[in-house]
Amino acid sequence: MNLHLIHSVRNLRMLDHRHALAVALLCSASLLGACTTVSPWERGTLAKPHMALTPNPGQSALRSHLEISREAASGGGTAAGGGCGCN
Amino acid sequence: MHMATAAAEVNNEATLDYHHYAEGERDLEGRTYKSLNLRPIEVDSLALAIRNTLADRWTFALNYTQDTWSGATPVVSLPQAAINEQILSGASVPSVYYTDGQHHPLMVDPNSFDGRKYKTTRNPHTVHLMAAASAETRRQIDGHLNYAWDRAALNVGGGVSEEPDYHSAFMNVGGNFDFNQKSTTLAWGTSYTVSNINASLESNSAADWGAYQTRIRESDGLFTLFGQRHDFGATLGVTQVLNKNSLIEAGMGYTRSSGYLSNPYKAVMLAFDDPDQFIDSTGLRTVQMRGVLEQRPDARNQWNWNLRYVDYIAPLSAALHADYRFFHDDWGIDAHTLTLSWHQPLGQGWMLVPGTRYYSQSRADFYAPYFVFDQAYPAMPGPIFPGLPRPLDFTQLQRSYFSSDARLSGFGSIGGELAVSKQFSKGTKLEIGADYSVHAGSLKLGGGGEDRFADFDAYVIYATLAIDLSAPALSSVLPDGDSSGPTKVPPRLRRAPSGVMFDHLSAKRGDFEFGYRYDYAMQGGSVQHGTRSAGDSELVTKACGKTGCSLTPRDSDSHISMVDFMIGLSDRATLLVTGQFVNHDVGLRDLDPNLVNAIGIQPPPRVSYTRNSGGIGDTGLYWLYGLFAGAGQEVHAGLGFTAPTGSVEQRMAGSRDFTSYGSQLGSGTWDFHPSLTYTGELQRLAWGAQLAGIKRMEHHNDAGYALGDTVQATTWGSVRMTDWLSLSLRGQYTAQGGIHGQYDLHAAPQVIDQRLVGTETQDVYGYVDTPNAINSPLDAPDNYGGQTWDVGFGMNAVIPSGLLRGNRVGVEWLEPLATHFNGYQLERQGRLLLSWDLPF
Repeated sequence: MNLHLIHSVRNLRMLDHRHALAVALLCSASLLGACTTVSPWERGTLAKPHMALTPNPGQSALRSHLEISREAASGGGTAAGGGCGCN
Repeated sequence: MHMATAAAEVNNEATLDYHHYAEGERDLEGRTYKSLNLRPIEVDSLALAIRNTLADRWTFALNYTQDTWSGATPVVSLPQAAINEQILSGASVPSVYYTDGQHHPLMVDPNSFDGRKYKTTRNPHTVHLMAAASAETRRQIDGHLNYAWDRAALNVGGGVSEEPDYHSAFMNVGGNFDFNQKSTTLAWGTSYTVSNINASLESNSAADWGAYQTRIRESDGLFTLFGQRHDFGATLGVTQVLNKNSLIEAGMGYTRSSGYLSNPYKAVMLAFDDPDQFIDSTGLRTVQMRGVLEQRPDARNQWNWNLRYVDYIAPLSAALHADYRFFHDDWGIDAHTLTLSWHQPLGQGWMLVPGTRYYSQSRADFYAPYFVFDQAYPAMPGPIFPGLPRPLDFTQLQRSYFSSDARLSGFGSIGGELAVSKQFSKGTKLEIGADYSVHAGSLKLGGGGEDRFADFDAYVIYATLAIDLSAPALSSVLPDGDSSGPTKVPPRLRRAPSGVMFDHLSAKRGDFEFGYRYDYAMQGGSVQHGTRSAGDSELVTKACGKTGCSLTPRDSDSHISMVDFMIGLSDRATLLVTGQFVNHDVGLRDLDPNLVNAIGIQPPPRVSYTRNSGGIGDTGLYWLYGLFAGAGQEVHAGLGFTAPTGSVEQRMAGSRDFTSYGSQLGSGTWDFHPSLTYTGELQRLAWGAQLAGIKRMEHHNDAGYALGDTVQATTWGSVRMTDWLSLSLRGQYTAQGGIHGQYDLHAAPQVIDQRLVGTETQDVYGYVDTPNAINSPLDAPDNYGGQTWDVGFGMNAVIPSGLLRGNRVGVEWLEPLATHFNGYQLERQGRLLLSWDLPF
């Protein structure tokens, strides 16, 4: 993995965005090991509603359906539901 | 389903979402939407979701979504010079344009011919041809079941999505594992969707079918494209709590789509600039064009990578959300999405959320605004039919995939949004927000995006009402615990059947009640005149007034979703606010053309066999006041009005003509709604009666007519079977007056003059005020209103226990007993009414 990383960094200038993201993912994955463990009783802040990854899932779903029908990049793996979005 | 379990989730919640999206006008090179009778795209969406714990480790989620699309959408794009030429020649479709020696498209002034040359100007612009699609409503129901172990969870879900031309079914399976005392969550998901497409090619009838010859066949007299697609997806993600104040999610996804992946309503223009063509003294090169249904590859592999980061900014108690997503597919599209939002609590439950989003994509390999080939028009060998374009021989072309759908072009989009939410006590949260975005080729990352013809702007307004079902206040509507006192009856068992509005007052000041009502009315079978069936020959000659009918309705479905909020002003006065989502779908059939020809008056041409419409209906405000209460009996009066928020200017697909009067979304007038209600209750029995009316307060609406006034009388009785269940029987009489007036004239293109171009006479078109087309009984205002008698069978329940305790649900079927229609109308088949009330 490290070799891959070095190889990627060496060719940084030639990187397309896809590789850049792969690097970012690898970095964040390697970060995980370094994270301090946060005890469950210390997670009061993380449990606040506005700290949720998707604070308003209903609106996010409606918006995502709209974006799928206006833009070429699709929802990303999960079945967001059907619908043509042809207009 | 989202991935995080590292962060908290609410498990018992009902939400109602409303979302309105509207685009601005696109640049049509001097022609305005107004002059073309077009409206930009609008989408109204409504979503209801319930998430609830079933048992200790089981959770279910149920979602209902409907969205209605209306407005004009681009069909094809082509050189402005070709549009100019089409207008000058009066041709039904653009088929030719001229260029100079350097292949620049030219605008040619036909009156400037000096015997040798024309006056020309270069015009490099591309322009969309738009088509007005009738409103279409999509409905989706889906559900999920989730089982949680201590450190893992599994969920299984599925659903269906239905719209007239597109039917999908999907299922998904996913799960997650928690590590490090739930500091790390690994989530996975798989999904499969199958979609069946049956799209009428009416609005795209001039296009060559290309490789889709075998997919197209006649259905109900219309050329229809049948397709199927499969989408398989998989995701994998990790959510990590970084510290007490931040967490991150990294995920990736893969989707494989296969089958018919084109959009049946989009076409491309293939332009043939023959290098060997003869150039006369004018020096003009002729480029021949042919429209073709867009042809996309039949497989697409898509990859997504995303990072989401949430950080708590302690000094401000705020949360920063930063999301980045990269998308790549084997059609040549790379896309970046960056979303930032700031969630700022303001105290007392208020929250302000500003945000921004940037999106950029590169174009698909097979996208171009139009396709120019340096070769002669590759006509299929065979006979030539004068006036008809010759079919293309695709084997002579260098490429086999084409799309001019601007959504596959290179562009960027940038937007900003602002939302405000308020957390009320009793576990209710209301959020409203707005969002404005600009989509433009020039905003593409790295430049090289599409020209400005495809640019547009759009805004969204939305509202979310979220109700925490486990909030303690909700339980207080029922007597607490299982006390075996004399009041075993849950006090709020609704006694009036679902179809009766305004049946009760709030108990006291400050009481709040949310309700949802669904009304599904079905018509079908034969057309009736008065009380008897009318045959086709009678319809042809009599049901359309002076012109003959060439069409008649076959079936008609109306769906009304209504939300209401009831607020107790005092123990006698109640305020009720209602909003409606309306959707009408009508199917028509041809009447025998021989009968039609026999009457000698040719009806206007048929535009479509369907009339679909949908969107927001009228909005009501009512004041209910208790006049008498005592001895288990009660009388109250209601005074209210509805505001004409529902459109009365819905048009038929691909036409300037208004759709049927009955398919409009509201009355178009301010209406007065008085009512008087009496209810009584004695032990297991309950009864009631109501007199209600609608008085139109204007003589005509913006479209030129007014619906008839209405009087309705109903009476019912109900028997309580158990503490939580009652059955009802109801009779209802309704009388509605006929329509006053009719649709105003509207501008439509007609030949207004002729002129000499060179030696040829050409028609000159202009907009002329034209009466609305009448070609079916639905179009004649005389065929509305009448008297009806119905009997209703209903069931009401109050959920006796569990977290939904106190929710009231009801269902009623209204069976037509007798009908006396004004004019000619489609037989009534019944009405299904559902109600759900959630008191606080």
